[in-house]
Amino acid sequence: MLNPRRIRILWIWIALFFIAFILVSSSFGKRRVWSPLEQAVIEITAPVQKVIFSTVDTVQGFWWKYFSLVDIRIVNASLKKEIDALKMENSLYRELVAANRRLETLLQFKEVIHWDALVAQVIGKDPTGWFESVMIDKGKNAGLRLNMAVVNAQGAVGQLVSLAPNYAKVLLVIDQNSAVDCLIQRSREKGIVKGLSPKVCKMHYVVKNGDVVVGDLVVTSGMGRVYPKGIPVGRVVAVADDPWEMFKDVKVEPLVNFSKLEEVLVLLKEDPLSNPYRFKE
Amino acid sequence: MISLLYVLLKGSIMKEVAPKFFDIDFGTAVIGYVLITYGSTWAGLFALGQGILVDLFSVGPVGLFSLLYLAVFLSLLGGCRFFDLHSPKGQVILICVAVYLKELFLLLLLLVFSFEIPNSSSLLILLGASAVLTGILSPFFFHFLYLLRRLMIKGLQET
Repeated sequence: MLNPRRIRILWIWIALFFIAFILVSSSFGKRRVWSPLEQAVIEITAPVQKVIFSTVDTVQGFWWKYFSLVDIRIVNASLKKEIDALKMENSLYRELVAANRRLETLLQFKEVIHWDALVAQVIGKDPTGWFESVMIDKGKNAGLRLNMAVVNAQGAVGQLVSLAPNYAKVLLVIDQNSAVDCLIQRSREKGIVKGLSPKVCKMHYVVKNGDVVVGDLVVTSGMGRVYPKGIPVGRVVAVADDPWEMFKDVKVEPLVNFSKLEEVLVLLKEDPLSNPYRFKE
Repeated sequence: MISLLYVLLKGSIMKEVAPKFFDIDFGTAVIGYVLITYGSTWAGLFALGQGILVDLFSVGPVGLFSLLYLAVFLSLLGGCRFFDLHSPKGQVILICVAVYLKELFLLLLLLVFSFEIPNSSSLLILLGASAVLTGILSPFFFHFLYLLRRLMIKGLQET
């Protein structure tokens, strides 16, 4: 049973809903326009609302700009760290891509020659200013032997002169004490290429009536028992004919960029006289 | 350790920045430093060790640089009678002379052992320039080594 008090409250609710319903149904389809009374109420309350809004806005701004920024420094440091890590990662990826390209070129070169070869990484250069050599990260344990030829996709690099179980020393063709038996690819003129400087070699013992012109490609002859026949060594950059000399003075620019030597191929055969340098058809 | 690092890094750095035969040789300065800090016996041993190390990494004849660095040690030992290796002036003069003598001795040895040496007129100038520059830079290098020693001693005392 409902008591009279509850019945009265119920009636009040019903009345309020009825008023609201009347208001809603009367304003349906009409444009909402403030009545003069409503306007007066708005005029009085709006400034208060404005003050409250601006206060809240200021407090909120203050909060966001200062208190909430306490963590920003930490977040900023963390983001900077993340950026650094990503930059490092990006740099590593770029390095990997570059290494991949170089290895791909070496692989293509390896496929061109019918010769077992091993890729090795250059890990150091000669500490003196007098000799031209590099250290590689493969040695006896990888099957390397003395006097094996070292090449890259551009051409002849050098030969192995010292071996350790896991490392080896390569005498570069640009060293003044290196000698590579070569020939001019076009005219088959013979000579011996020796280092003169890191950028220029000299082709010795080219006969006076030999056919050598600037731009000729110099390749290994296969006669030196180190390099297989036909490995490019360099390009002729100058030919001089001194009447007082017995031979022509032929300067050769190496094809290999020795200052940027990173990976090399060691040809795993000790006797190249069998002419194994056969190109795939 | 410094000497080992120097030998390992030298080839990669110097070959990139300096022309061939231009050789700023801080190894000589280190021998000088060991000579005035630890005495002639240790300096001699150090010179020999440094030479062997360079011989290992270089493609030159075995023992060449051991001999050269021993010669450097002897020239510094002899030079100490005339100049004070503790003073910057003495360091510049002695290191410069020792490096130049070392380079000339090397040239001579290479010629004696029939190694090919390019007939370049600029070779002697380059060798002289390397010696002078090494000499000029040596007081800074000595100072660096003193500083390093002080720091090491301080570190040891703290531990």
